[in-house]
Amino acid sequence: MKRIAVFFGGISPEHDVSVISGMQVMDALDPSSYDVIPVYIATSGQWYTDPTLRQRETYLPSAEQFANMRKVSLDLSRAGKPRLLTTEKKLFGSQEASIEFDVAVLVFHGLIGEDGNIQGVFETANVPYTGMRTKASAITMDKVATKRIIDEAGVPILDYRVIPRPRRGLIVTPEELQAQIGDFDFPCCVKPNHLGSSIGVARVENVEELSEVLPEIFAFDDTALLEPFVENLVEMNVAVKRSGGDVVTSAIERPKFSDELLDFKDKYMSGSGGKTGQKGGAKTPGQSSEGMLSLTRELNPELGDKDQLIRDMAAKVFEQLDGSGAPRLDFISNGETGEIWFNELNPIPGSFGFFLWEAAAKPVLFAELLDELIAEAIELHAGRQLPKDPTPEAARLFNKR
Amino acid sequence: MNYSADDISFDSLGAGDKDFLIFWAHGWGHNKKAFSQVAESLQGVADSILIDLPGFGDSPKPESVWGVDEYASSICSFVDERSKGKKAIWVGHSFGGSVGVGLAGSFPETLDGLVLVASAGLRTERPLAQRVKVWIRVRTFKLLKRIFNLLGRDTDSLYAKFGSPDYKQSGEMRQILVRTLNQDLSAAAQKISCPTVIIYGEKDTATPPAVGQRYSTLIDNSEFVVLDTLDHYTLLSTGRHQVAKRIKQLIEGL
Repeated sequence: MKRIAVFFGGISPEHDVSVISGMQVMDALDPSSYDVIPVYIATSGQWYTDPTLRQRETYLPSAEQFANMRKVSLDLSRAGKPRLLTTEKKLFGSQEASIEFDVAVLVFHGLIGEDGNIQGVFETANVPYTGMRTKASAITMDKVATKRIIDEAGVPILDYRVIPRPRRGLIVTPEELQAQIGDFDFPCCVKPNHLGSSIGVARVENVEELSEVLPEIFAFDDTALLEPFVENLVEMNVAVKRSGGDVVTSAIERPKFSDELLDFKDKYMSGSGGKTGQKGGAKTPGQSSEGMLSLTRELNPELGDKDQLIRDMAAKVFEQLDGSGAPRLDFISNGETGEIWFNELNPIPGSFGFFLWEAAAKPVLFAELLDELIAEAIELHAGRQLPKDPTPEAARLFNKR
Repeated sequence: MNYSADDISFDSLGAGDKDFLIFWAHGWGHNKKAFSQVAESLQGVADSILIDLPGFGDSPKPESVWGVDEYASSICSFVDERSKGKKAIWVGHSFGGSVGVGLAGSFPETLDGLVLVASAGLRTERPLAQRVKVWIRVRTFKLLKRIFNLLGRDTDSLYAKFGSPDYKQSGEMRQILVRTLNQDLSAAAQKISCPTVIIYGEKDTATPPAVGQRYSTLIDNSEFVVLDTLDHYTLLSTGRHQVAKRIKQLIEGL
């Protein structure tokens, strides 16, 4: 029996989505192979563990339930097995205690958690963890950095301009903007450089409109990204992972998309809102109302020769970034001209994109996907171990330890 | 028995191009929606037919008081007709599992694989305390019923007070519920020859893992799995990924 610590929540705009994904992952971990230890990171930054963290009710608005929960932190000392540090209440006072585990499954969405920060913590603590490594996570959380690297691999990307947050305040005047973007054509699509889930994404017709929407982006992000607005937009997403020595792809999904861009709530709560626009790629299919999945997305759409093209591009991006885990890659296309561009990579897709793997040519169920990710975490960890004494002979300034 | 295969209401899932066809059968009081999420997970592996068992969902009620045998024979032609050229797997939850045991036991040619999820159909020895409790409850009920009858009073309120939730809600299906609940399917289980996976939830009180344990000793070619933390119903919701995984493993071995 392996002890699997599942980390979720986090200081991120996508905290709530991560809680849902975390609960789904805990349910999907095979109880005959694993003992599950839930580790919830609250928006305050406090880490907790408790069996009730597997239940939805625990997260209903009321902070009381967390008051008596065990607070934990990760032991960074690399001494022995991975472990969480905590305190145990004793008859008189309390005593230090630890909870050992074998592998960390990371179920964070957005910012700290998905951007390499948390990954770096687990590297430091020498703990096997699932998903992309620190470097790849950091790069993919930055859309501009990703574009530069993917461009090098020869995978088509949309042209872009970068608009940094001003040193002071959130407002950039149209005149300043004009100077920054030069002759970049409108209409454009503007988005935050780091955030996912369509937060802050807007279509703008001119430089004045751009100036108006930027403060909203700058409230959350230090950089905005400007791209040409793609007419007849068709989105196609596919997940990628390693299997043996090969890179394999999941089913392709085509989110059903209404004519305008949507905000976060439409994306995630289209089941309850009753708004007309519905965009798929929803992060929590398990929580959606019955039949929601097929309403919001089409799996394995008929794409002709584009199908293989997308899969090849996805595998190339994954390799270029030294990928691991099972990230989801999003492509966009002009439905009329047939042009396809790589749009972004989501290192930890909602629900781990399990429905994409279930519908793959060689189907992989959620429980099996987690088995694979855990095995990969152990393998990658083993491959990064240093000799017991990491100082080579030539670099030693003291006598042999 | 005037029930034809055409009377059975069902939903199909999948393009029909798979080598395997799964028949999903719900528990008492449920309908074809019960397994829809598990079936959806397995769409890449098998095509699916989600059944409304006779008397549930949109399938009409049997005209007489059926037992598990009648359910099995009414469904047999339905399964045979649809699974031509494919391997047929029956996945039954609770009462749907009982029907599967009847089907696989009486018509060994019909199924290539069987999955019993918290299946009913075997009486289990309850712990002493629970036996005493049930005995007292049953005696009290019977005594009150006699008194009510003597006084000429309606006994419905007694049924409502003493019956199980299934019993209370079963309405016109009540006699069928009583008959099927009282059946012991040991003999049918012993005749099962197809590969069988038996899945029970550790926290299940309606059909405790002991029932599955007994099925596994009765069915030769079987594998028994107990899933921690899950109960009679959560096997189909939060436990669905584990159930799907075991079904896929069964199919891969066929």
